[in-house]
Amino acid sequence: MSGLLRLWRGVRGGVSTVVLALVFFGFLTPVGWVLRWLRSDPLQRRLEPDRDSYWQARRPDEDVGLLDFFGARDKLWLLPIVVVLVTVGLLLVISEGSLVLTFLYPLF
Amino acid sequence: MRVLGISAFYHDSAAALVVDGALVAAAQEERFSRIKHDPGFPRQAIAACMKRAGLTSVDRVVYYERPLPKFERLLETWLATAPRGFSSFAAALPVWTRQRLFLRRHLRRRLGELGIEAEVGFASHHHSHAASAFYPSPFEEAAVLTLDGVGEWETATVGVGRGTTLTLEQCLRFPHSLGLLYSAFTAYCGFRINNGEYKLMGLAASGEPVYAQRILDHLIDVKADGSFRLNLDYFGFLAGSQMFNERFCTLFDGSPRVAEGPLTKRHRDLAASIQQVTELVVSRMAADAVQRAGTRRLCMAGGVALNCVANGKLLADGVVDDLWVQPASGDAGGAIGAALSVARCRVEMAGGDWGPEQSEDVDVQGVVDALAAGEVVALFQGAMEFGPRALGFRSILADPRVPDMQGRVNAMVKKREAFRPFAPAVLEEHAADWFDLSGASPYMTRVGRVLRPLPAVTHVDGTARVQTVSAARHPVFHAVLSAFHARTGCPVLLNTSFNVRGEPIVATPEQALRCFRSTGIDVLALEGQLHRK
Repeated sequence: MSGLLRLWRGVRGGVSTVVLALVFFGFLTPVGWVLRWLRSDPLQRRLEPDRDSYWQARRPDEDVGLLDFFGARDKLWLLPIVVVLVTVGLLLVISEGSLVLTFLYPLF
Repeated sequence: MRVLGISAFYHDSAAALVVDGALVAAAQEERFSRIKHDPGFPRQAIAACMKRAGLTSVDRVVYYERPLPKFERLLETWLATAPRGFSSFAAALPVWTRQRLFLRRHLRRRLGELGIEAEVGFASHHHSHAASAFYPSPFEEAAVLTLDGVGEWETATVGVGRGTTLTLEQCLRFPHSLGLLYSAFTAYCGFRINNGEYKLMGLAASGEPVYAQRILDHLIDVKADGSFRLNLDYFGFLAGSQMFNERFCTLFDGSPRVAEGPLTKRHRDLAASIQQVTELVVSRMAADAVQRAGTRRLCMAGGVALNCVANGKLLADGVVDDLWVQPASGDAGGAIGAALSVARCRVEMAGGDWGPEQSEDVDVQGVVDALAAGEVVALFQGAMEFGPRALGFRSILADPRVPDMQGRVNAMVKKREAFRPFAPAVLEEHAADWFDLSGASPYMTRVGRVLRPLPAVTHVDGTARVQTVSAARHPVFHAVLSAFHARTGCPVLLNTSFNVRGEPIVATPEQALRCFRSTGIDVLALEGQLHRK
């Protein structure tokens, strides 16, 4: 029994990794490439020797929901990406206890 | 209003209770679970706080960080680095979808298991740090500076506190982080990040800052006001699991030190160099913060504020007139700050003993007899300390005048690196005769020069991290020190936390007895009795 269980866990872990890899390399990576071509330096990685200061104004604290949060930052376009990631993540989480869904993995 | 603050799920989980304008309890989960820096839900810490306060319900629960901006930061980082960064993605996505994106619901459920039903809200990570620094400080008005690895996006903030109003105006954002820079050197020098930073700080005293200019030329662009950006070409933390990369190693003349490997002059020099750069940044930021705020007083919190050597320089160099550092500056203190972000009231840290209460009975004369005879005494009395330092409630004490005492305490219980000094506790009224400190240091947050011979507690550079003990804040410990002073003429004791290496400080009498029996400690003072082997 424990051997079977270990095999089952191994398969499940392997399938999880494959699904995550598909999402990361097949979806996030190309989206990232496009975004990097469209936007310059979203993480502000560039050094700016001529500036006097790197301090930036701080956004006031607000306890808001998903839509308001991304809306206030002009980042509503991030939402579809969030939805895809959360959907995949939830399926992985739900399938932790379910044999059936594990065999749905190949569908992604 | 009864507000429960919670810090959890990253490192140093903790809970704190603020009731009707007063801090009434605070505790770290690691002390109960016995897992150092335990990141789990602080179930036992919350229960301990509720018990100490005599409460069964609260009005508000505040978590010390906002999940959404944090997820946004992760997402933006993956988008900016993919196809690199898969390991971070694969580790984070399941955790976030299972728990963190639905944190309010998750916390409600976990609190429900403890019988606590209340509205759950969030305070931002750096606002939590800032609140934990300003509201308990003795200043009516002060500049506020927070510095750490990273919260949601922010890595540093400056602002001002007046009365019960706290405003943070400016920030620096990930990946530009002084905490992460220091951690990169911690990892490079073979210590564990989020744990070994204070070892690096201790090591710095024995090195020469020969690499400081190289760090300033290549790794970090620091402006006159202390704000900075890192050159990400030298770091691995954006996309990888390592803090530094190959270029970093080449810049600093070789491969990283393996854990527990030999410590050479190069490592000491690296430690001294990053310490000097850290001091430069902190000093410029502090100068700018007090200037903006129009006051000469400063409050600090965040992991970098645990760098007491850098803090000490702010006072010694006259950058600020007065300084108050939250003793639990790491994420544990975020629990206090989260509660205070909502309660918005001035509180007292008092003795820092906000944990579960135990007997205060101590056979003072017996303890002092043993200490004066050169024995090592474990003192267990009163409520447990909150924060990383033992303040005389769960402490190991010894005579600091005995030259080989550091080696003895190390050999019998602490087993730590020989370069790391032990700290002294001194009667506040005699502190100025023994240490060059600017003001009191009741929570061991200040470093000062040692003025008289105290070999067991003096670091290689002639300094010590001092706890000043007053009768008001620490009455029992004050009585022990006073009796030792009366007996020997020395108002100072070596004071180190009551635990063995790699374990959290003991919390209960049972743990104290177990630790006592498994080590070479000579005497245990517990519940009015003296235990000997």
